[in-house]
Amino acid sequence: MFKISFIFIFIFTCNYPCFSQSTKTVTTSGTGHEDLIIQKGDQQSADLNQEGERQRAFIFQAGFGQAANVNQSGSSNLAFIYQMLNVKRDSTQIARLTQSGFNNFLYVNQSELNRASFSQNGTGNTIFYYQNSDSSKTKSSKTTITQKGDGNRATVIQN
Amino acid sequence: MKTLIHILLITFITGIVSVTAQTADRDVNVFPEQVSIEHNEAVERFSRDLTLILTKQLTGAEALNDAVNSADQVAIINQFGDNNVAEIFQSGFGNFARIDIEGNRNNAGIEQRGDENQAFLGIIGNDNVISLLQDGNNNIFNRTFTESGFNAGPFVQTGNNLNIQVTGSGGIPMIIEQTGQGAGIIIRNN
Repeated sequence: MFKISFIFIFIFTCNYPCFSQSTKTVTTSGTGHEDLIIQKGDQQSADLNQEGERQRAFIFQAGFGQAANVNQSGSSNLAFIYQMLNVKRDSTQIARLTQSGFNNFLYVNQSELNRASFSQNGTGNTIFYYQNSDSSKTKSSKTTITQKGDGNRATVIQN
Repeated sequence: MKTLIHILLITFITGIVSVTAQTADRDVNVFPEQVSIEHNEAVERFSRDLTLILTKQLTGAEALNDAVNSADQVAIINQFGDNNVAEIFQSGFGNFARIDIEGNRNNAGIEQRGDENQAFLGIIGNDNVISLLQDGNNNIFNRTFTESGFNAGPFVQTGNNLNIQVTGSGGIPMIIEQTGQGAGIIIRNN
């Protein structure tokens, strides 16, 4: 809880743009890794690859032209992708995720003009996708979820 | 020795002729000719039906592609397996929701609030539970299925210019509730 609070404080106190056109790549393997990527500014890209069990991936992005790519293999992994609204103009956001294994969880929050593609292979996996668009801006979002296995759950909320 | 020289000479000349012929034929167009066969009536009917099915499928795919491209918000869920849950909630104008499931004992639901929305459900399997709620005008729901054993929850549409199309095979109990003007229902059960 403290860590999440710290993340939000960091994002909202950082003057725009903190960073611009940067790519962050993280690759880990093992058990219990926790990786956090925070990007604010335009044309941000985050690539996160995790192998093993109980992996946690947190990606927070604010700006225009953001992209988050997460690959997780193993079990009981968690991915959290939060791409924020840009109050001044339309936000173009891309989120991709592949998870293989069982009991994996994905939470994604995006705004308008997004492209999202998520794939889960295994059992007991969960995807929760939430999109909240500014009604005054252009809407063009496409979200595709593919789940192969038993006992999976996919929830999409688009406002 | 003389015989060996003759064999080598013939082989060499044959090789040159072959290479020359290949080079000469490289730019020549080939016009294959079809053998004229009169098919019997069954073959002609099968060919005609197949062409019709493919044309319908292509037309349907193009229409679906157009719908996806023109929609403001698109959500597509594909699930392969048993005991899965898929749900889509959309609000606003011009949304598109599609859930395709292949498996048994799955639960799928779509809820759309707003106008010009489209919802599709494609189901292959048994004992699946599906439901729909559309609240608004000019909304469309299209459902296709194969195999039986559905527990089709109520398909509820409220508004004007509504449309529900259900296509599939097997005897399936279903509940349709429409409230509004100009509501159209098409059910094809083969």
